[in-house]
Parts: sequence; C-alpha cells; structure tokens
Amino acid sequence: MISNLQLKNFTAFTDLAIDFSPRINIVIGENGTGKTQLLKAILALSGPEARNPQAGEQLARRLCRLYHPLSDQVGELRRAGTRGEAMLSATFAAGQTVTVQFSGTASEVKVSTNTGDELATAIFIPTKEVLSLVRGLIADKPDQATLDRIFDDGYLDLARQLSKEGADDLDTKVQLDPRFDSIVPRLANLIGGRYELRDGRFCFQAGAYVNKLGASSAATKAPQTFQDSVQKFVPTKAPLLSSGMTAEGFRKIGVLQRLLSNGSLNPGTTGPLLWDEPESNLNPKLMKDLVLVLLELARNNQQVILATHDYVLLKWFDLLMDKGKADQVRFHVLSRDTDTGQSRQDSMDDYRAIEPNAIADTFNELTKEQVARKMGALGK
Amino acid sequence: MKLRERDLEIDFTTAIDAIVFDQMKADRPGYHGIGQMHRVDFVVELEEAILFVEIKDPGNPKAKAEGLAKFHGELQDGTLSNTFASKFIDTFLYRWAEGCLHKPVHYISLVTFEDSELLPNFSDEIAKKLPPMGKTMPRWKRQLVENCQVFNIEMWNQSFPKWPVARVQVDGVKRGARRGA
Repeated sequence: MISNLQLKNFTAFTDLAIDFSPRINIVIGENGTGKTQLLKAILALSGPEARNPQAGEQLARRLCRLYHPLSDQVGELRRAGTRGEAMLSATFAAGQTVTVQFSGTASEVKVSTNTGDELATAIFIPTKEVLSLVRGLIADKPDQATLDRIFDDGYLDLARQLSKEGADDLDTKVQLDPRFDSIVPRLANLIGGRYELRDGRFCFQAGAYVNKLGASSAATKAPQTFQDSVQKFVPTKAPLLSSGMTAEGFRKIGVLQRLLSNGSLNPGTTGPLLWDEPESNLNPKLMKDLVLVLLELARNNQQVILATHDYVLLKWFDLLMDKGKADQVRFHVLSRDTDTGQSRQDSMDDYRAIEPNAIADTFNELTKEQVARKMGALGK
Repeated sequence: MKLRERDLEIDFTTAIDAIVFDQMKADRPGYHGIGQMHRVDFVVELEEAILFVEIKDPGNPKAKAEGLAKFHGELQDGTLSNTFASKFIDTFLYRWAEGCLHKPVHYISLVTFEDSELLPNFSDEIAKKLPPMGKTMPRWKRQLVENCQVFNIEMWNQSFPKWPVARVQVDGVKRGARRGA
C-alpha cells in the first residue's frame, strides 16, 4: 500500500506530492495531464527491481520499458527545461521508502531504499483490454523483442499476471472466502458469464451464479463476513466463445475476474490496484456495478488507484460510497497551468470540492444552451 | 413585480403582469376556484411571452425529513414529472378559457436541487409528458410550449438576471402564506 508519492522534474511533472488514501483514490484530469505516467511511476517503484543488487540498472530499464522514451535512455524521462535531476520517491504503508534519481543524460538511475523488505506487487490495468492478447503475448512463444517494441511493460506485466496458474476453482473460493462471495458473483452476473483459461487462451462461458441451496433468512440477514455462501456458477448450454468474440467492455471486467480467481489480486496482500481509465469501452450501464465491486474490494483492504477523465465514474463513487462501512474516496485532480505548461495537483475528500468539476460544468452548459436556443434574450 | 412562494421570492422586473395563479382563497383577488384542476404557482406576462412558473423547494433548510422523502420518492418513480406536466396542461386550459393565451408560453420551474446535474434530465422528463409527447405532428399549427425547463437557484439567476430569485426571511409572515407585491 502506497501512502505518498513525490515526482520532481519527471515527465509531465515539475514538482508533485500526493498523499494516498489506503482505500480508493481517483486521479482525475483532462488528457495530457500525466495520469497514466503517475500510475506507471507507482508501478515502477513498487516492483522488485529496487531491491535488486543491480537496482540502478534494473530500475532504469524498467522505466524505459514502461514509458518507451524515444532514445530508450532513462535520462530522456527527466522533464525538459527544468533544473536538477529527476526524482521519483514513494513511501509505503509499512514505512518502506524507495527513491530514484537520475540526470538528463543518465542511462542508469540512483536508487536508495530504507529497508530490504519486499514490497507487495502492484497491479496495473492499462487502458486497452489485455485478456484477448494473452495468447499472443504469452502462450505462443512470441518474439520478445517485437513485443517489447509494441507493448510497454504495463501490458506485458498484466498478461503475465493473467496467465498465472492458480486455484482457478472460483466456486470453491466463493464458498470459502467471504471476501469473494459478493464480488465474484457480481462480476459474473454483470457480464452474464465468466472467462476461463483454456489451452493458453481465454474463453467466455455464459452462465450465472445462483443460490444453489437457498440461504436461510437468518443467513441472509447475517453480516456479509459471517454469511455462509452457497452460490455456485451454473453455465448455460451456450457454446464457449473465444474472448475476441465478446464485447471489449466485458473483457475488462473479465480481467478483474481472472486476477481475483488466480490470486494475482488478493485483497489485503496485493499492492495497489492501479487502473487506467476503467470506463474505456465499458457500457455506462456497467459503471455502477463496477464501482460497487471496487468499493467492496477496498472494504477488504485492497488499495485502489484509478485514473479517469470520466466524471460520471466519480459521481457513482460519490453516490455509492458508504461512510458507515468506512469507505474512503480521495480525489486527486491533475490540471495543467496554461501559462507554464506545468502539471498541478490538488487532493480532496469531498466530490463537491472538486475544482474544476467538469461534470457540473457540462450539465450547466447544457442548461444554458437550452435557455439560449429557446428563450433568447428573455430575462436577460 | 415580486411574487413569493413560501420563502422563495422572484422579482419579475420586466413583467407587464405577474400573478399568483394558484390562489385558492375565495376572498383574495385572482381566486382560481377549481380545486380539481392542477395549477402552476405563478403566471407572468411579458411583452413578448408568457411564463408559467412552478416552484418546489426540497433545498429549503427547514424542509422536514418526511417531506424530502416524499419528494425524492416522487422524483424517482416519475410522479413528480407527471404532476409538473399536469400543472402545465391544466393551467394552459384555464388561461385559454380566460382568453389570456395570445403569446408563446414558456414553462420554467424552480426546483432547489443541490446538484445541477439533475436539471437537464428532469427538464426532458417533464417535456416529453407534454403534448405532443415528443411526436412530430404534421396536423398541428401551433405548439403548446416554447421551452420547458427546470432550474435551481444558481442556474435560474445565471439564466435570468432580470428575474432574480432569493430566499427571504419569512418572519412576520404566516408560514405557508403567500403574497403578491
């Protein structure tokens, strides 16, 4: 779990410091304000490279694989036109710190850490859907150099995590682990089935979770964590589909499903879940359920950091968060100074305090446009 | 010309005439007299148009929990927009019978929502319940309403600076009483 991130003279950022909520964090900003770069910085600093004896070389390579600078030299990631070295520094919940510094001509970075403890691995879900790429990226022994040129490490990392073998018996997991009994069935019922790994590729099996034995009314009323789960996945007779035959938005939900089922995402143990634009390719009707799932993950001690420019997603968090369940949603607004071009950041816990709030602005604009078109100068 | 609905007061500075339309006290001027018909709160005559104005005040700091629950329930199940539509239609008929519908009509409502995101949706919900219910009617020569739109205080004041709305103290005025001034 990351508690603080500082970025100086790095890519879009001149001087940025963010304190993260241990639960839900939403990084908001227009295109080009550095949202994805911020998520990738967290991914880089959370990885095992910082503990490696060749940390300087390894982390430099990791940054290049994540950001793909033109020259393939880490120095290029230092923000042009600024003085001093680039610096990335993260503080994690258990007190570990990782600091990386480099000059504009560097091919290696200087790494300092305060402890040798392993950090919990972060999970990064990039904008484009990855489930259908797994076969090509992993299973069929592809040419790594070609892949590296096409995909940054954000995609390759996730493909590896998705293809990881694990107890794929979701039903057992749902039965045994109370943390999953509301999340996994909700995800499956949201998309009308689930994705399963068959011979190195993901296929979609239509079906739904149903209460097999029927919970007693006492069990239904019991608090979630003590409830005996009796839900079971029942496939329909529909034939298996290749993931490419299913909607891209469904595949994004499938990514979350798979990460939970193979243990790559294990709330309470895994590092931050970094999700870049969860809304892309998602039917807006699925948004509410996705937000409910993310809130449920956070209630089970999964730190979540989202980047978005969809203000409807923010509004869902605002409406669905339940302070009685200790939900905590922190909004981090990135904007760009029109004069200096520098990225600025502001954090707040209240949706209403978000400034500028593009959702309210957009709706107000609609109201004003209707008045202008239909009433002209009346009342003005 | 100021009109007040409980503790919300609108000053229609450019109006030729502005009346409390739903006056149901027989001893007051402008007595409506048909309890079975729905009624908007105000009717305002301008040089070039007529305004029907309906006011709902869920944002009143004195609003009671039961009242708010009822309001939000009706907003959610669609009965609130039904009521808004009925008020327009019945007021339109009443004013037609009075021979007072010789200018284009605008139906503008003030609903004190905190979130302005709700305004465009609720406006459209009412508009599609007004004849011709969103249909194109080749036989029709006229339209009932030019603009059907809902505002909160902030958006009302931004849109209509000449008809400012304000929350006023009601000290000395019996709660629920209204006056035209």
